Amino acid sequence: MGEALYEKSLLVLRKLLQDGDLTVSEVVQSYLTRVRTVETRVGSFIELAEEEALLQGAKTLDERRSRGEGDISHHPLYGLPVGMKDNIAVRGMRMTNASRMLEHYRSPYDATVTTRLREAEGIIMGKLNMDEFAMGSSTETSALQTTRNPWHTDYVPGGSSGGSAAAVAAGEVAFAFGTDSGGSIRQPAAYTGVVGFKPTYGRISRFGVAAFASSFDTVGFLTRDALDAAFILDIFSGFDEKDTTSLPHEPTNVYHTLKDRDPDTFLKGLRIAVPHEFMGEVISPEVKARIEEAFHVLEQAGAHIEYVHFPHMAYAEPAYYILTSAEASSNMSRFDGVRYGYRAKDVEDIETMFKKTRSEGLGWEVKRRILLGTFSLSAGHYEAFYQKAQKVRTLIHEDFARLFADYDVVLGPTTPTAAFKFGERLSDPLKMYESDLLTVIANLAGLPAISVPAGFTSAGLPVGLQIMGPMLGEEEVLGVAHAYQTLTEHHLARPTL
Amino acid sequence: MSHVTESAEKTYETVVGLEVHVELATKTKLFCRCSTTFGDEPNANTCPICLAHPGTLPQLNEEAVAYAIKAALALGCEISERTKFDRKSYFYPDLPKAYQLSQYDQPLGQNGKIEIEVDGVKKTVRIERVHLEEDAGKLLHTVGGTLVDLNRGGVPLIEIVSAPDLRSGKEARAYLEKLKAILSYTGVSDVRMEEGSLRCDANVSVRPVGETRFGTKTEIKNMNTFSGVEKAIEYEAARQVEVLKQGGWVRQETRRFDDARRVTIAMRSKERAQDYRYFPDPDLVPFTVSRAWVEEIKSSIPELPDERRARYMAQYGLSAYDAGVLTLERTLADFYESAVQAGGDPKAIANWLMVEVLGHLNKENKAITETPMRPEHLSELVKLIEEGVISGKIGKSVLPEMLESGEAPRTIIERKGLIQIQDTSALEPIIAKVIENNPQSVADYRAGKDRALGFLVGQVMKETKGKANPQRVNELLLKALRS
Amino acid sequence: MQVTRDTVKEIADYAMLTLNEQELEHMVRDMQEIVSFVEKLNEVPTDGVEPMIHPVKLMIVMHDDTVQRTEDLDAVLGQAPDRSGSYFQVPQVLGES
Ligand SMILES: [Zn+2]
Repeated sequence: MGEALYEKSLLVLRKLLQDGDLTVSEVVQSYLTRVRTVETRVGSFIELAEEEALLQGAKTLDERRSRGEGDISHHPLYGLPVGMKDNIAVRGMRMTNASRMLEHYRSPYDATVTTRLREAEGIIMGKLNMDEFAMGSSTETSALQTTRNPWHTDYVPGGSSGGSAAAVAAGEVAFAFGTDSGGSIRQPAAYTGVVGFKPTYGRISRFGVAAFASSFDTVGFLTRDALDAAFILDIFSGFDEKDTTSLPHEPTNVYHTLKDRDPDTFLKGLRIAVPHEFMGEVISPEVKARIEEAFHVLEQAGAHIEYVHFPHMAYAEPAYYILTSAEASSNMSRFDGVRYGYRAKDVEDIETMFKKTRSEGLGWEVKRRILLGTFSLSAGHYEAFYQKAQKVRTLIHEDFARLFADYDVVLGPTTPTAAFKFGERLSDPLKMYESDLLTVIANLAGLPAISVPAGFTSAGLPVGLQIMGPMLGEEEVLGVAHAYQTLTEHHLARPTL
Repeated sequence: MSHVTESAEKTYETVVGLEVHVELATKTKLFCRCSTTFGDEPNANTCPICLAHPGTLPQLNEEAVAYAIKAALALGCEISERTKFDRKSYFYPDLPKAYQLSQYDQPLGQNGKIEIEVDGVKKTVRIERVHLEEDAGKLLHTVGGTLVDLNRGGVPLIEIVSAPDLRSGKEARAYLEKLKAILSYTGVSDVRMEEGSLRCDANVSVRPVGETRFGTKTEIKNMNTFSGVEKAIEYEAARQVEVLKQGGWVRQETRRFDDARRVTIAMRSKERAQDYRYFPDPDLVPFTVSRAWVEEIKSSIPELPDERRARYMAQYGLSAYDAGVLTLERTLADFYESAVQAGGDPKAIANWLMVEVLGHLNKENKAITETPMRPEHLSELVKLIEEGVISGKIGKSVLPEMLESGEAPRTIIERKGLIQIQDTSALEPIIAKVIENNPQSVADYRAGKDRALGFLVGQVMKETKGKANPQRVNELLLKALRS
Repeated sequence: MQVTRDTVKEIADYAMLTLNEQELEHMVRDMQEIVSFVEKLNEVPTDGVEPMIHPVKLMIVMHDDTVQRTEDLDAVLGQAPDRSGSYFQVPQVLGES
C-alpha cells in the first residue's frame, strides 16, 4: 500500500497503533512533517502545539506501552493526532475564535469534548482557523489568517470550520473537531472533499465551545470517511451536566452496528426523499450531475428515491439569519474588554471603552450580524422579525416531521456550487449566505446531517452529497453514508499539495 | 362636573408599589458552583462561568429554584408549571455577560398576597409576581477608575413585585416588615437590609382622592433601612403634591434617597431610553416545575407569622400587640416558645422578653441569636421571681449578666448572695431592732400616719441590703406594730 | 421596510458599536439588503403557530448546592487587561463617583 501515514483513515491508523505496527512517535512525527510541508500553502492552524511537547507526549505513551502499562483499549483515540476548531476550549492553548478580540486569549479550562479527548488519549495537534466567531462561509472573515482549499489554493476551503476541513483534507490531522450552526461543518467538508458530520442538536456537549447561536450550535467532526465519524461519535456523544441543553441519552453505539453491516441489505428498500427545492435552478449543473450519479448508485443498490416537496424551504434562510443573528448579538455582548481579551487604548470613560473595544476588536461580518440581531430583538421589531422567525422555525420542523413519517432519510447536494474563489462573495452578504442554502434547515430543526464526497467538478473541485436524518437518527445518516462509501471511491481521493 | 372654587385645596392620596430584591441563602451561585460567602477577597468567588468566559454555559442551582418556589408559596403565589429564563441585555461592568438572566413573561410565582396591619387596620397587599434572577457584581468608584468585584455576580435573587396597593410610607414599612418576617420564617434568606440581602425600590405617585387613574410615578432607589423607606416615600409623596399644587407636573424619573438630608434627589437621567431586548435564553431550555416537587416544598414550609401570632394569642393569652412583636422574627418567636415550654407564666415571660431582653439587646445592637442566654434561663428567672426567691428588681439586675455570660440566673444570684430573706426567724430580730430605733415613726404610724409604715419597711430593707422580700417585711412589720 | 441611518445608529448604540461615516453608509446598505431579504417571511401565514425557542424538548437537569473552588483562579483572573489588586479595573463610570 503506497498510502502515506497521513493519508490513512483514522480507523486504519488506529489498528496499526493498537497492533503495535506503529508507535505513537512515528505517527506524530509523520504528521508533524506533513504539517511542515504543506502548512505554508494551506494555513489551517492558528496555533500548532509545541513540537517538543508533542514528541515528548508521544514518547511517554510509547514508553508506557512498552512497559506493558495501561490498557490502550480503554483509550479509543490512543496516539491519534486531532485538530480542534479554535472556538473549542483547550486549557492553556489559544482560543481566538479567529478574532482580534481574543487574539491573545488563552482558555483557562477544558471544554467537555477536550476532557473526553484527553481521556481517550488523542493527541491535540493544535487550534484550527475559522470564520470569526463562526460567522461566515469561507473562513475569509478570520481576522488572523487565510486558509486555502487544498484542492486548489485559489479557492476558499468553505467555512466556518474551514481550518478543520482543510487540515483533514491536507492530511495535517487524522480528524478535526468543527462546529455547525448552519452548515459550518458540512459546507467546508463538501468544498474540500472530506466527510463532515453534524449530529442531532445536543448530542455532544457544547460546554467550552464559544457560542455563536446557542440553539443552533452543534459540535461535530471532519473525517476521511463515515465509519471514522461513527467511531468518534460514540466516544463524544452523551449527556453532560455542564450543558443543560445536551441530550439526556447514553452515548451512541453506531460504529459497531455499521462495521459489519452489508451495505446492499441495508440499502434495499430504504426510503429516500429528495425535495425538488434541493435540486432547483440555483444548483449548478455540475453539482446536480454528481448528485444524480450518487442517487443512481443508491438506487442500483435497491434504495427507493422519491422526489417530494419541502414547503417552507424558501423561508429557511431568512428565518435562520434572523434567529442566529439575534442569539449571536447577545452571545457577543460579553466581549466588553473588562475581564479578558482585547481592550482599546486611551479611553477615559467606560462607555467609550466598551464602544472602542468592540468596534476595534470585532470584524465587519460579526458587527453586521450583531446589528441585525439587535435590530430583530429590539422593541417594535421583536414580533415582526424575531418571533416571526421562531414561528417559521416551527413550520420547518413540521415539514421535516411529515417527511420523516414516510422516509428514512432526506438527500440532496450539500451546497449549490463547488468552492468559490477568494474575494468572490465577500462583499455581497446575500451571495455568501447562498452557500448555506441547503444546510441551514437541518440546524433549524436540530437534525443530524452529513456531507460525503461525491466526485468532482471539471475544474477538479470536490462536490458533497448531503444526507439528513430524523431526530436522533445518526445511525440512519451514518449508515447511508457508510453504505455509499463502500460502493464508491470518491472519499479515497487525496489532493496533491 | 361640580364647580370647584379656585381656593379649594384638593386632598391627595399616595400610591406605592414596591419592588423588593432578596438574596437567597444558598451556598452556591445560581448558575455556577462558586461560593456565595460574603466579605471574601474581591473576585475570590468567581469562575469562568460567572466571569462569562467564552464557551461557558449556565448550570441551574436546584436549591435556588426550590428556595424561590418556597418563598413564592409562603407569599401565597401560584407556581407556574412551565417557566424559563430570559436574557435582559444591557452593558455595565458589573454584568459580565452584558445580559442578566432573569424571568420575563413566565415568572415562577404569580398572584400572591400578604396581610398587613397599620394602626389596627388590616389590609391585603397583592403580590403581582415573584421571579428568580442573578445578582450583579459590585463596583467601587475611585479617583483612578472603577474597580470591579464579581463575588456577588450570579448570586441568586428573588424579585418580589407588589401591586400599587400601598397608600403611605407607614404601610410600605409594615409591608416590608411582614415580608421580612415571612421570608425569615421560611429560611430562604437572612433578609438583612443593612447587609444588602434585602433591597427595595419604591414606585411612588400621588392622585387626588377619588381619582381612579394613577398619577405619574417616580422610582425611588437607595433606601437602606425600613425607616428610610418610610421617610423616603413620605417625602416623595409630599414633594409630588407640592409640585402639583404649584401647577406643575410630576416627571417620570428615578430618584435617589439621601438618608442624611431625608430628601429624594433626581438621578442623572440616561440620555437614551433603555431597551432590554428580553428574549428566552437558548442556553437554558424552558422547563417544567413538577406538581410533586411543589407539594414537597409546600409541606416543608413552617408555621408562618400570622398563624403563629394567632396561636400565641389563643394559647398563651397574649395581646395582639405582644403576639405581633414576638412573632415578627422567627428566631424571637422560637426563643419565646422554648422559654414558655420550660415553665413560667407565658405573659410574664413575654413581658420580660419584650421589655428587658429586647431593650438590652437593642442598646447593644444585637439580635436574639447573638446572646448566649438560653430560653430556659429566662423561664427560670421568671419562676424565681414568681416564687419570691428574688425580687423583680434583683431580676432586672442579673439579666444583663445572663445575656453576657449565658450563666443560669440561679448560679448568678447564689454566687452574689442575692437570694431574698423570707425566713421569719431571720427577719424578726431585724424588725424588732428597727422598731426600737425609730420610736417616732412607730408613734406616727399608730397615730394613723400610713406613710410611716413605708419608712419602716425601707429601714428593714436597708438593714438587709435589699435582700429581704418586701412583701414579707410588710406582713411581719404590721404584725409587730399591732402587737 | 426602510432601514435608515438613525435606525442603524440607534441599534449600534445598544450594541456598543461605533461606525464612522463611511462604515455607517456601508452598514445601512448591507442592513437594507438583509432586512429586505428576511422580510420574505411576511409571506408565511403563522397565525396560531407556536414560536420555537429550542429545537429539542428537554427536562432541565439542575446541580446541587455544593461549592466548587476554581482551580487556578489566577490563570482566570490573570486574563484581565487591567487589574488593581484582585479587582478588575476599568475606566470611570460616568455619573458615578
Ligand atoms: Zn462562578
